[in-house]
Amino acid sequence: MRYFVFLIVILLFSSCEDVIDLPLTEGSKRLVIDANINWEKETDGNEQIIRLSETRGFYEETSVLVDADSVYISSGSDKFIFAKQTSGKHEGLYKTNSFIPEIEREYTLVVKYKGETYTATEILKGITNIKDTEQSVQNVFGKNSIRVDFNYTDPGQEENYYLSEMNSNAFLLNQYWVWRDEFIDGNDDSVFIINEDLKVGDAVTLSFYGISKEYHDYMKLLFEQVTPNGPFATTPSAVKGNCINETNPKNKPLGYFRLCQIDKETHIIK
Amino acid sequence: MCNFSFAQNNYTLSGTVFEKESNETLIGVNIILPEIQKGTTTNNYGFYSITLPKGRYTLEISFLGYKTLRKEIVLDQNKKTNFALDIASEEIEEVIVRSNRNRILLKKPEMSVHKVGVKTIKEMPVVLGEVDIIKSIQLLPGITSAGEGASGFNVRGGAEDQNLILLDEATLYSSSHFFGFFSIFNADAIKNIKLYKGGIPAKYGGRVSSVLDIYQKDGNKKSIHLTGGIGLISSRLMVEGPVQKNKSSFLVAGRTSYVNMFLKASPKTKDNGLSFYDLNTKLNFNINDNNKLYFSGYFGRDSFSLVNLFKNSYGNSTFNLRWNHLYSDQLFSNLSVIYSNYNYFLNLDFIGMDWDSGIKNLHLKYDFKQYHSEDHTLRYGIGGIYYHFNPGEISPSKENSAVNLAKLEQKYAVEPSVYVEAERTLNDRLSINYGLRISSFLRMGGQHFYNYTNNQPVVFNRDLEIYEAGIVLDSTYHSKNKVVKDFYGVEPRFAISYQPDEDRAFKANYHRMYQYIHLISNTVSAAPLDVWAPSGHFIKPQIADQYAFGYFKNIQEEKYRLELETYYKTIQNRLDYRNGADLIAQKQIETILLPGRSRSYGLEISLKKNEGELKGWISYTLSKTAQQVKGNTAGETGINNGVWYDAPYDKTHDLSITGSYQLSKKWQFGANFVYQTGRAVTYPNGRFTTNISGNYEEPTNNITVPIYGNRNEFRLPAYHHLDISATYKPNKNLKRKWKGEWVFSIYNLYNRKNAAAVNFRQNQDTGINEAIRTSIFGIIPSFTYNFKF
Repeated sequence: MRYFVFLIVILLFSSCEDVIDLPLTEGSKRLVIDANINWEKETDGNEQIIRLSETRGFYEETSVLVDADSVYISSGSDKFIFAKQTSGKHEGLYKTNSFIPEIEREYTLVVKYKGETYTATEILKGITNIKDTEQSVQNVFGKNSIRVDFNYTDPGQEENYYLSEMNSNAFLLNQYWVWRDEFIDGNDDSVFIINEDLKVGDAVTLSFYGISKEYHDYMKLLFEQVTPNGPFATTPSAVKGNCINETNPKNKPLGYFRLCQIDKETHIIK
Repeated sequence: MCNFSFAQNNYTLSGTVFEKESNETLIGVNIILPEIQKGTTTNNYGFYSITLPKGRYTLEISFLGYKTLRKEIVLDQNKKTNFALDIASEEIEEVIVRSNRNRILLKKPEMSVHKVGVKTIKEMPVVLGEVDIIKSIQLLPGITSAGEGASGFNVRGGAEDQNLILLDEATLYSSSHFFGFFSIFNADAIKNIKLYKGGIPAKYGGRVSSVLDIYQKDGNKKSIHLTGGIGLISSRLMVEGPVQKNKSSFLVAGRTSYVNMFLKASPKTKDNGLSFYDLNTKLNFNINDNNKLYFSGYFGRDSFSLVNLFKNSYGNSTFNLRWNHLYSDQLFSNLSVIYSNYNYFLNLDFIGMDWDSGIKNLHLKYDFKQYHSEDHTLRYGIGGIYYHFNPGEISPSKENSAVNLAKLEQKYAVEPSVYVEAERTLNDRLSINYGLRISSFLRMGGQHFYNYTNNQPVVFNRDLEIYEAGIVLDSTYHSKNKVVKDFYGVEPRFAISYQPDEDRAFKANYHRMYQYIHLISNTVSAAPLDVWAPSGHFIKPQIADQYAFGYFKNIQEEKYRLELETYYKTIQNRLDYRNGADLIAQKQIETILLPGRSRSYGLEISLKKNEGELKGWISYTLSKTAQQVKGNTAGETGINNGVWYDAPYDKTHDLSITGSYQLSKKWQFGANFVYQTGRAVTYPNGRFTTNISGNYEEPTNNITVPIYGNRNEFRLPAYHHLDISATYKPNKNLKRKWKGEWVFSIYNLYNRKNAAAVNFRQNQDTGINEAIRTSIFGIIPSFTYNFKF
């Protein structure tokens, strides 16, 4: 049901929106673990990055990175140590060059920060291939918009969960969807984008992630918080990730540890 | 019975009261005997009956908006007398006879009830000139809505799905068009509106917060008439007239919006559609004095379409057949067969998918009213509702669609009930109404029922502190005839009135009510595609207990009326939802639900002026509604850590002032002012980011996520607006058949940007976090032309 959003509502209400100056209070600072292990097809996936930061007030623009005592991922007898980068484009982030990705293998993340130990366990999920792309024209309210379909085939007889990330020079923020194959099991399907800003020569890149059910649920809730639909928005709620504070469970971290295989495809608008 | 020994000296006066001009029966007309300070009112079919000792009486027949009729009557045998009332024209109203109307109302134990005249509603200023019953009743104390653009209404802290909405006794499952902008009732076709907020009589059941009982007109029995109106959003036309003069009549009323016409006019938008329409129909036959037949139907639809992206249509349809039969002049009966259907259809052409969901029911009931004596009436009846729930069906809408056919299993249930209710005048000061309703709900088979590990459809993950769907062990199929789960409800109702003197009364009431079906909706405002779910193994019926106490006073010879009520209401088994649950196309609805409870209390004050050139009312409500969801076992967080939180529609202060002023025969002015505390909302107390692709050097790849704190801890800014209207009747010649009027109105005169919602998100162009206010109606001038022929 990935596109089951209130398109109508967005259309109806978008004209009656304005930005207001609303003072907000800030809650206590918490650790944010952004541990997204991405293994792009046809790469070895050895280089991986983890970001550790603190929560901030809602209107703050940047994140404040923090120093942990140690950060590593273990799996069986393997232990991949992440080291803080002191220079370069990854300055302040934690990085390893020795990660070994393997589909359906279980990994555990351990972060030691301010004397407390945080852990999370997750399985690396594979992804089916993007077969090809198609370009067409879709009429939206009298305007011709470009539609790009990225075709794939859902593997039948198994539960699959997907995340798509659309990136283009035509828009600033990436566009995301999460969905499951409940109603399309085993079928040919497509991930598509309809955007009136797309012009000839623009590039649209789909990053196609295979994800776990738990991460799907988490991201679905997260996206609901990020893209609210006026009065028909779902009740706002806290987005709780899979990281546990072993030392002091009450001081819960935010963020997620997940491992995905990715297929990428770029389409140039003709 | 105790009055057996007097039986031979008592005679019954009975009959029907109708409007002289049209022979339309009138509901709730007071028939008063001022000498003995007793009286009765006509029932929903215009029938009255009163049994009195032999003698000579003066009768006063009075009804708001009609000339009071006085009649001497000698009661020396059982008599059938019909009364015809004349509409009070403006010039007559000034010399209206004091009617004792309100004095008799004080006597009745009935309270927490509002009767609103359609005429009053038509004169109120409204958005875009659309006469709106649901918006109008929100000006009464104790009735609010979640905000502009929210469908439905909330009564004494009740949710939208806790209102029983009846149109000619048929249940409606949605009361609004265009996502709540307009209500589905065509005021021209409506005869009578009654809203119960408490002390709900035993004959009603099935919803825990209120009953909105609406009756359609029967149609003019004397001659054919046209009534209509042309507005900015929609136009309406009603035809009514006799089939056989004075015996039978028909009524057909239609209303349609014409945004569509504007869309079609432009080549750019011609493939888009946005419309609503509704159709009210009625046909009735007076077979003889003792038998009457009524057929009525309602059909309403909303539809949207966006070229080849999607099509969407939804609405109610009802059909019913009623048979009034008088077993004697003291025993009135009505047998009804009612079919009602709510359907939601969505076609998403760009992904090739159709979605269909809905609820259907067939309702059979037999109601009796026995007029035992002038001090004692008895109501009793039986009924049964058969439900068919369609939680959703997904099908491919075109050949190359990726969607597989998936039909969620249909659900079936039966809701039988029986009730008895007595109204007694004990002495000059004291009268009581007591009743008992026994309801039951039988969930039927015809589907698979899932079994879960530890019998838990929702499990709490203690490590992550989140709720997850339970683990399915297996499922059992039960045949359609098998009762899979049964519930029984004992629902006592009680009301009392104590009248220390002619112009004052103290009243109190209590009711317990059961609600067996639940609207599954996790959005702030209920949306049309929300589905209804029946009680069953894992969903218990909602149970409401409400206590109310009131003080009523007529001031200055009934010129003013002061009403003061206070209430306390609790509801058990109110459902809330675990976070991130998929509500749509959810085949195991029990895996997303968390049972909780709600409580509300409040004080309602209203002061009404019913007579004179300046009429209107002021109502103020101070109230609190909160909910609590603790979770099923110890150590669970529930919702909001198990702490009480304000309901989204909780409005601490709610003030409305509505008035109309008759300047001359030609001009009438109206005004409304509404002030409400802003809706309870949840605001973020921080933010964090995630970068899915790992391109940390690219800041726009960061997704900023608001961190939400305690549920509904904050308030939207206060909601208020002032609306005005002017009605101009240019009739020079009163004898002319064509009567027209212009209604000019301005909604939200000072253009307040009331927030329907405040959302938090990243700006699409700059990536900066912002608070976004959605406000719907600014200042809206409009006009409507109404006519009668």
